[in-house]
Amino acid sequence: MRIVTAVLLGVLTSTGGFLDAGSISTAASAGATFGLSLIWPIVVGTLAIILLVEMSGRLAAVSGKAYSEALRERFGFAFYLLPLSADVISNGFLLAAELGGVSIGLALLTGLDWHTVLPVSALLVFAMVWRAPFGLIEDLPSILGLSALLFVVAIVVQPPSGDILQALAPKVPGSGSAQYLYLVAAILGATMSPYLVYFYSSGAREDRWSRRSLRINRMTAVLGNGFGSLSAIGILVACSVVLQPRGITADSLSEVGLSLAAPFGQLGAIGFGLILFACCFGAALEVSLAVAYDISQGFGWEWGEEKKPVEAARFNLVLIIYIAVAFTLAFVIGDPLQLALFASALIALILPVALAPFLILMNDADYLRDQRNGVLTNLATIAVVILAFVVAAASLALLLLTGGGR
Amino acid sequence: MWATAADRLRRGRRTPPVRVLLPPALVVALVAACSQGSFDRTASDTASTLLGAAATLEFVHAGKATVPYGRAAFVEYGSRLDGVADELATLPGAPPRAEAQGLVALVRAATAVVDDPCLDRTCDWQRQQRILESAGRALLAASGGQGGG
Repeated sequence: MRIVTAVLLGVLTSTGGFLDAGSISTAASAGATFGLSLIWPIVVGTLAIILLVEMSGRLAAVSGKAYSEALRERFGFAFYLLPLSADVISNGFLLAAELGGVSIGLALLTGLDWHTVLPVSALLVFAMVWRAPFGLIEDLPSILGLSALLFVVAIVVQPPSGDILQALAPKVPGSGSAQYLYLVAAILGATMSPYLVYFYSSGAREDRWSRRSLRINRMTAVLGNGFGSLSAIGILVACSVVLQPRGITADSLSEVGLSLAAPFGQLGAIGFGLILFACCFGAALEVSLAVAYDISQGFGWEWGEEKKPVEAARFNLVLIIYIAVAFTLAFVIGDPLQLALFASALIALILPVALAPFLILMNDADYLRDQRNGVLTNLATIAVVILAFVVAAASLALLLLTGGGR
Repeated sequence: MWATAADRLRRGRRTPPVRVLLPPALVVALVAACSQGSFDRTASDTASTLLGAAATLEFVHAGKATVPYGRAAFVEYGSRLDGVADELATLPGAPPRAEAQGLVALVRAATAVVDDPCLDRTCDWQRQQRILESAGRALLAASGGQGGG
């Protein structure tokens, strides 16, 4: 039973974390604009996030500390302020996008105006993080999120004309190369979201992982993120098949849904509403909890989803304030898809700050003892950190050059 | 106590550290940069929205999408078209006045369709679809047909 619960943690992080407003938007935009040629960043990002998630789970299981706790303890509060403030800001935009995604998902199922549904979505997210036990937060979105497999089935029902394997080789197009590179950065930002790492390691602490959980950790990191990656590739392929020939570049989430309606009819349209709701709802829970974990662990406050609100008052206060701010952002700015694209590029910008400390932490015998990184894992981590620096430098220039990739 | 506070102020301790101010400053600069529209970008985005609206109309009437899906989708398309007709001709990189005015007229007609889409059999949805398609195609051509491929 414990194994099943642990694997569900992985599935949750894949559906709610991997597949969220950011990854749906970036994959859809990529497929609708550039066909199959942007599958490779999804694959690269998936390999990177598998590595990062495995390391953060191993750190939590062996040291009994979540990633942000270890960050603050090992590098000091002054250093911790940089990743914390960057994370709080970028995740604010992302949470606003997730709330918008939940609302549009509900709207597509009911026919209501998504602006009207937005307060309901914020209240649903608030109710879950306020009172639901961590187990329910794991299980509910993960079961609903399985509907994202419909995008994988769509590849079989409606195969693309190009060869998917050939598309794995990076190839920058002659025209629109700035937008292409912007989408590469945004896909990597959406795929390697640090909040996933923060949430996963704190979730491992909530589930009281120990050394005995190490094998489960490896399994869930690979299976969970692999599942999310397949669905993201499915979205990209479906949009390249249905939207690109019509000149539709997936600038709104309703346009993305047409890529499932074309092969599956009304079932596909309803399925898309459900997928959008489930993935964005799961991600909204993760993002809001990840930020509350980060802040509470950084300041040394009581934290934990299993604790009553009064026992972790400041942790819960952060949750309330953060959801309220994200709701306001979503209401004022609107356009969840553009918010998600912007948040993904912003996350790409802060990746080095959040990921570089892994290199030191994962080789610290005080935390990892005999479970420190081996040579190969260190080499892979160095590659990911270099990638993060490249993506960050490029995303700043490309954000300005493309005006947000539009 | 006062002396301590004054000392801190003199030493600059009251100033929030750069590492805290840097991310918000960066975000403000990026948001400002990203909010500057150009004609090509706006025309290309609007074209996608209009062509998406035309496809949604077709899907609803072909039984591929539900009426609630269509209704909610058109609300989303409508909010993306807010103010576009008013600003299109004045954006940097806009074509000559006569051509720009022609595009604006097409966008206005298409916006009227998006605001009141025909999702049942009591009205001429095919005419609406043609309006959306022609406005979308014209904007796509005017934007230089960006979109890679």
